[in-house]
Amino acid sequence: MPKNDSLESEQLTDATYYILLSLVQERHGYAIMQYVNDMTENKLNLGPATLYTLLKKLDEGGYITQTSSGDRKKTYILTDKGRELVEKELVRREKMVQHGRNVLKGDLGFCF
Amino acid sequence: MKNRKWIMSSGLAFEDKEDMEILHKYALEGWIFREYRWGFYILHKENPQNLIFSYDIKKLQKDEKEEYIDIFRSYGWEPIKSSEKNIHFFAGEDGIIPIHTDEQIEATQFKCGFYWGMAMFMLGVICMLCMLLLDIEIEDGMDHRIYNILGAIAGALIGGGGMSMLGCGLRLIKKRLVIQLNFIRSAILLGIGMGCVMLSFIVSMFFVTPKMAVYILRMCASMCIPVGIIGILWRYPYFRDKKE
Repeated sequence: MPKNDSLESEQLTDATYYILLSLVQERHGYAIMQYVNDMTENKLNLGPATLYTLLKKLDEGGYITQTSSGDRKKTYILTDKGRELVEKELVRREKMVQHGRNVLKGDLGFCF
Repeated sequence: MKNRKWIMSSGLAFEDKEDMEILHKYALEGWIFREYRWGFYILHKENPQNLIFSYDIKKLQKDEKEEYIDIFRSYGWEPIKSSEKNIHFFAGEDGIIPIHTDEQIEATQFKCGFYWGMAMFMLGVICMLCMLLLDIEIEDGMDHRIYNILGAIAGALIGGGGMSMLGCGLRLIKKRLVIQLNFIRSAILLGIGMGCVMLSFIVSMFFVTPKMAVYILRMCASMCIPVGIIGILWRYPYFRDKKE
């Protein structure tokens, strides 16, 4: 089983990636789910248990933080550390797309 | 006319999907799952509702519970009263987003049960080793009882702990042990357990000083008899209500 402690050394799951993206703006639980659902055109659904677990994990890791706004609904927002993480992931995924495009186009060039 | 039904859980590590499906079918007939107590689903007789049920095993701090329940509520999952602090049951309308949408995260909820099962199992093995290695000169009276007690405890712990460990352990690697303990198999297990007990008395009659075999037989009985009884109790209401 992969170690879930440090996210920095691993690639992010789709769910984690999209949750981080949704928290560029301050959002609460259900709003995160709706935002991700809309953005992925219903392809990625986050159940409440999954969402809660990931939010806690990201909060503990310092990638997101709770903001106290409104009455009861707890909202979260991305931290600088979280922004770095998602930017790193974006670069990784971009490279994957680039590799794919190169190979399928017929160029066997190496990307540096 | 009774307005409560107690349905025994088949163990969430084993047949949770089947249990939730049974609860859904009961809800369609007006028997609504309203409380979980000591391993039983307590159903209340009300109007039929198209409800589905689910659960999440999670250890929560006191200040985390409100946020946790809020998130579930906002999806449409209402919490159900539970006697187990860490097992949270929910009811929702048919068709809403499932509680778990990530298999890996769903698997990790069985970690606690696995470690508890392992602890009970090891304790049982220690009891059994004590029983086998305590080579005291067996006389009539207290010593018998010590062996009987150790044997019974060892059997229950090894059986119960072993099953928990196996069930939860398999769920952690996303596999499942399906026991399908039906009425007949439970009755057979109960019979085997009683047979072990009777055999142990027969053996003890043949020997002046009781042999270790007697206590081993009783240990095996204490593994089989509870499972047999549980199986019969568990299946009986469902067996009575539906044609299997």
